Amino acid sequence: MSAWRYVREAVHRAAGRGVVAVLLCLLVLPLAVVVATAFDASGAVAFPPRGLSTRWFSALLASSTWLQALLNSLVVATGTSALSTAVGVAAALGVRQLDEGRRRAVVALAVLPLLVPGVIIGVTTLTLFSQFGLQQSYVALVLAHSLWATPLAFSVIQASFARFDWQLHEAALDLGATPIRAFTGVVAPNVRAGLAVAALVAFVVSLQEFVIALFLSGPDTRTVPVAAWNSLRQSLDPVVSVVSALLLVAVVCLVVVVGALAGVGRFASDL
Amino acid sequence: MSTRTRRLPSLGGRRTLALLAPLLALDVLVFLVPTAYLLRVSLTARTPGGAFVEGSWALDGYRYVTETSLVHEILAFTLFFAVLVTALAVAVGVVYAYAAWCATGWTRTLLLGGAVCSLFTTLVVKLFAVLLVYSPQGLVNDLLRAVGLASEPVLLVDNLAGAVIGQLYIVVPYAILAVYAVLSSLNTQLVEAARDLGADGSGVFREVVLPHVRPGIAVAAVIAFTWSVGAYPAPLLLGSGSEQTVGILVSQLLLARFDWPAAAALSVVTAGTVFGSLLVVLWRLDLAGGLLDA
Amino acid sequence: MLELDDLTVTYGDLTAVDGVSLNVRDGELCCLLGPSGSGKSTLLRAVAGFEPPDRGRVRIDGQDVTDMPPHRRPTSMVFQDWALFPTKSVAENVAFGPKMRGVGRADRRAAAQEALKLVEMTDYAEADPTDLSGGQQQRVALARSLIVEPDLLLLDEPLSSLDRGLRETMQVELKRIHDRVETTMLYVTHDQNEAFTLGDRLGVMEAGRLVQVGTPEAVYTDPVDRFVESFLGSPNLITCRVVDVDEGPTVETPFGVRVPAPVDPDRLTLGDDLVVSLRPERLSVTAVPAAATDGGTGASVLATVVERVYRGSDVRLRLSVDETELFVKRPIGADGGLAAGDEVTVRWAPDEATYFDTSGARCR
Repeated sequence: MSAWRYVREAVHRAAGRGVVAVLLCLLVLPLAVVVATAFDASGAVAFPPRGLSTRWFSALLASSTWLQALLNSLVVATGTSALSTAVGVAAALGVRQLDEGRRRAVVALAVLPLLVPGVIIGVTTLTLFSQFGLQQSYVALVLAHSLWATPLAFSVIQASFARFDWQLHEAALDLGATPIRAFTGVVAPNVRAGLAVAALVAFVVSLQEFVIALFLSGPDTRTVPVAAWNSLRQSLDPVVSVVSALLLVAVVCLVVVVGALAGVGRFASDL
Repeated sequence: MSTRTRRLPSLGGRRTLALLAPLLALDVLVFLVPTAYLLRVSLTARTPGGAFVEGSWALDGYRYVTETSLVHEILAFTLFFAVLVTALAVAVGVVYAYAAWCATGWTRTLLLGGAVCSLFTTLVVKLFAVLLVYSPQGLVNDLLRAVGLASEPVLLVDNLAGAVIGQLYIVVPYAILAVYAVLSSLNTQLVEAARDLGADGSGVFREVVLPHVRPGIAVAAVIAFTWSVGAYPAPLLLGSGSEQTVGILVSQLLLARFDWPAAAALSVVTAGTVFGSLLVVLWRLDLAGGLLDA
Repeated sequence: MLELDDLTVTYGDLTAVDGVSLNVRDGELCCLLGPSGSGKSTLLRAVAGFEPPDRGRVRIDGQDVTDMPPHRRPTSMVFQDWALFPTKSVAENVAFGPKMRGVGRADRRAAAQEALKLVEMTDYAEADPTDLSGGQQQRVALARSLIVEPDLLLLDEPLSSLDRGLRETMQVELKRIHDRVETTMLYVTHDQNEAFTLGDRLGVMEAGRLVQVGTPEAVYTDPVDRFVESFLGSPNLITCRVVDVDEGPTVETPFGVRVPAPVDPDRLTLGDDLVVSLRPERLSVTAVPAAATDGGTGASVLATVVERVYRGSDVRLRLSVDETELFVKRPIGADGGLAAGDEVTVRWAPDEATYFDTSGARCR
């Protein structure tokens, strides 16, 4: 019980807090820098910005390539979100009726694509889809993105189903509701937050996905990350900062909405 | 009522299948079939004229993979890179997630919010920002000099360090959340019991937190490892030319050289290596149980 | 020994523990008794070091531990759900404290065996704690806390998750272990029987305050206020009206009978309410035909038997007098074989009742 031990513990605690603070800073610093450079008045992509301006936002609005990319991203993300949520809900409902062993097998199959590097998914889907001339279509992008978004949506929905009292559902069926009416009328309102979180997660996964999109998109279906990548490989275009900042703000908004819906802690542990 | 209960089992079986069909169809059509097709392409003959010779059977692709020493070097580097990134990502993930779990109120929201924001940020944007922040004229170097830790600019991009840092920004958020998800199920009373019995901060961490969080560490390691084996944009943008990974080579073979059998064979070998090593490690560490539950 | 001096713990606006001062003597087993939310668990956690007090001091054996973190306090706690480490075996759980104190592997294994012997769990040393029954987990938790030889053992409703029979067995077992190890114990419970069985002394808590401390007998026979009286299980609290003060204090019951109330006249005001508590075991019941009128020394009222429950050791009667219910406990054979619907006369001696004024304070 010496005083020395007391001091040493205090030092440990302070050092631990310092390390975590540094980690948090390193984690979010780049994101903050991107937003800051978007408002830089000079053409140079640099930090800290020299003078504030919104002229690169105007440049973005004037560029048809970037606007097309934004549109593509929205189309693909919306499609992915709709498909993944629908598939995820159906699967989460179906899995409930399986025994332990089969449930594990289905979950394993659903999760498997998440364990495959994006490059490989891009290569495999590209080789097959190109046989049907689908390689540069929205369909190809939505399907490939759903491969990643579905297991995430599925697990979020499953977690929210687990918190639902299924006796209510049985009561509805017992009182004569059709399975579809029972779901939309009794289950859905109670797991609304879970469904919204699942849809948002799928949307954001698609919005930010890059490697698969790099392989599967063509000039007309290029998403924002791919356009940004191409632009970065050639020169440091300040419009990239603006687009990045927009994407970032969109993501932060979604995280805040989701956090408000489900609580960040629960959201983080459901993912 | 009674007729309905009696009929339900058979109806239930068909309904279950109908509910699972979309998921199975998606995984089969977009994942398993393309994978099988890739396997088939890897077994075709190479041709300078086009992507591959349709309908042919050959081991050209695999011969390329086994006989080219550059491919061996790239494979070896990729594995080294993936192990390094995995170790760092798991360490950071455990420390960060534990801090978030210990924190309360705003601090916890801030820590988790930061991780979630980073997770959902396009990796292109992240890498682009990392390039800005870690470049010799960037903020990190400014800070290092201001604190007096460095007099000369430290090279943190265009080399191995850059590639590793970039890849860490991609996988660390996943590692944090994977560990946190498991940690959030830890009963705080166990921590109190340990403190009560005389464990200090590090004792609690070693004796209670780490054993509990092993499944989360397994998930974090698997994600970090598989994605780093397939690392593509981070080494390309933040490494020098010598940080060549399998991913970069595959895309070159596929998109620039139109050598599909070689690209397919290399993909198959890589995927095989990943799954093989994961199975061995997980089996040895007996962690697989936690993987599917997470 | 434990000394609490004006201990206060608040959560925001809520005062969970409100100025509690208490001394627990060496080797004593002191029970803290109170309904849920009365602050007894918070008080225990403050002693263990998990809740920083807003005010007041905690001293153990003369040493002020108020600002000491839990792991350096000479206390040890048995948690409500036992909090056994699921990743460790029973023996490893028990050896945890010595391990944290730097005791070598062989020594701590031997100590763990010794502690498991005390709680009769040696056969389960290598078992997984999650495979044990509630009672077995409880024993392991006790051994894990006792092995560190705490100056003060804290027990937070350790038996409340067990079923009734097992709970009673464990109470006896705990008493035996306490007699053996002579460790000072502070034991939190909401169960009056448990507190009476175990406690050398008990403290009754209400809304964060410690309202009465004493031996079980002293507290039962001499409750300080209406809360303690009702919490210790008196169901017959009858609100009466004071109808006479000077000519021998008299109250009128809600069922219209006037009875003498031997309370100091200075504490009574004409027309005020006075709560009369009649302990079930101090009421006598006779069938109406045998009942004479009031003999002058006692009070009596006519009632109807609503329910009669035979409990083996005694008989419980539920009676109704107009709108009021009275509960009576009689030894077997002393109730004259009454049945529901019978008319009876209930009698009590006003000297044996307890009286509380409108604020709940004891008048007599």
